[in-house]
Amino acid sequence: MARAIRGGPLGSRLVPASSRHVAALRDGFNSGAVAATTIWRLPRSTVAFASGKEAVRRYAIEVEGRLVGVCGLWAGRYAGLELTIAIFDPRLRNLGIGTFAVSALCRIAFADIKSHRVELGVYPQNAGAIRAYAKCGFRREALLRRYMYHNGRWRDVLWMSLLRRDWKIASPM
Amino acid sequence: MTKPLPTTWLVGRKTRLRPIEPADVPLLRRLGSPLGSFDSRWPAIAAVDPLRPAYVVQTRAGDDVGVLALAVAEHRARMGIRWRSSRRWLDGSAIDAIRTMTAGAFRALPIVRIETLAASDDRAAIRAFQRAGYKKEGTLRESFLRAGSHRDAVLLSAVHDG
Repeated sequence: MARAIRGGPLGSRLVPASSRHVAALRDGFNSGAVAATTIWRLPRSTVAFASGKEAVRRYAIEVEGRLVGVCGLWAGRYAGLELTIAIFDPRLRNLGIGTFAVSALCRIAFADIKSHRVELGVYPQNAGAIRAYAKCGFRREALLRRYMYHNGRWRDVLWMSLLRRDWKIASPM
Repeated sequence: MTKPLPTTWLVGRKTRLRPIEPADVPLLRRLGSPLGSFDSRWPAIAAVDPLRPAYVVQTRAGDDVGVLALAVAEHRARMGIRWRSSRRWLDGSAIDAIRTMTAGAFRALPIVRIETLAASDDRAAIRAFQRAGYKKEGTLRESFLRAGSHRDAVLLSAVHDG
């Protein structure tokens, strides 16, 4: 049973995502605040958010009881688990909340789920996110050409990964 | 009398790709899935799923020498090949089959990218894809299992500029 993870900057915490978060998730994505960095472009219905592919683990990121973002682990596109994260409120970016969430998810992936690898994709222009991932130990692996379609053009995606053996060195259990 | 070759427009200079048929199941089982994880149902899936087309690679004379498969998702596809003999990576068959499939897929499918994964120590496969026009994008660490341990794979792709 997944449990809440506390101790993030500004009192942020990760709470297992449930049906009570669906409306806030819908509003977060539909605001367009993360349309530039996620695959969710067009506004979608509550039903669309409640259905779809199952995550291995999915957490709401809360600050003072308010949902400010979402993160999760999915079956990896290439291997292991794929990590995704979106913080809706721009004022809460670059404050360490993303790094806290990514570190917590890696701990879940490696220590709880026993995955050997966590991978993720990020636009090469998203320097802030790449810095945060690197801080958590992720390494650049490949530049995937014409991987996503956004703002009327095909864009490349930077693929990064963290291996269990590297994580163990950086974060001994 | 020579047996007529099955009809296909996926014909290259050295190879031809014919759709798999029920009679190919023993060959497919022997060679395994060209797209990694083995699933005994894959021959049946590949025969009917338009998003997982699979072909027997033949010489121009009609000898079955390998299996090539695509898995299409969104605007991308992944390609995998298995050969009866690894010398096919080296004798020009692989380059020709990859070129033929890539050109055919870009012609017929709404995709802009085809990617493939090759074991990082499989120089012959990497070289064949590169000579067929694929570019190396990077190395995915510990991304497949072989003999019980995780190994690195080189990611290569061809992209459609249209």
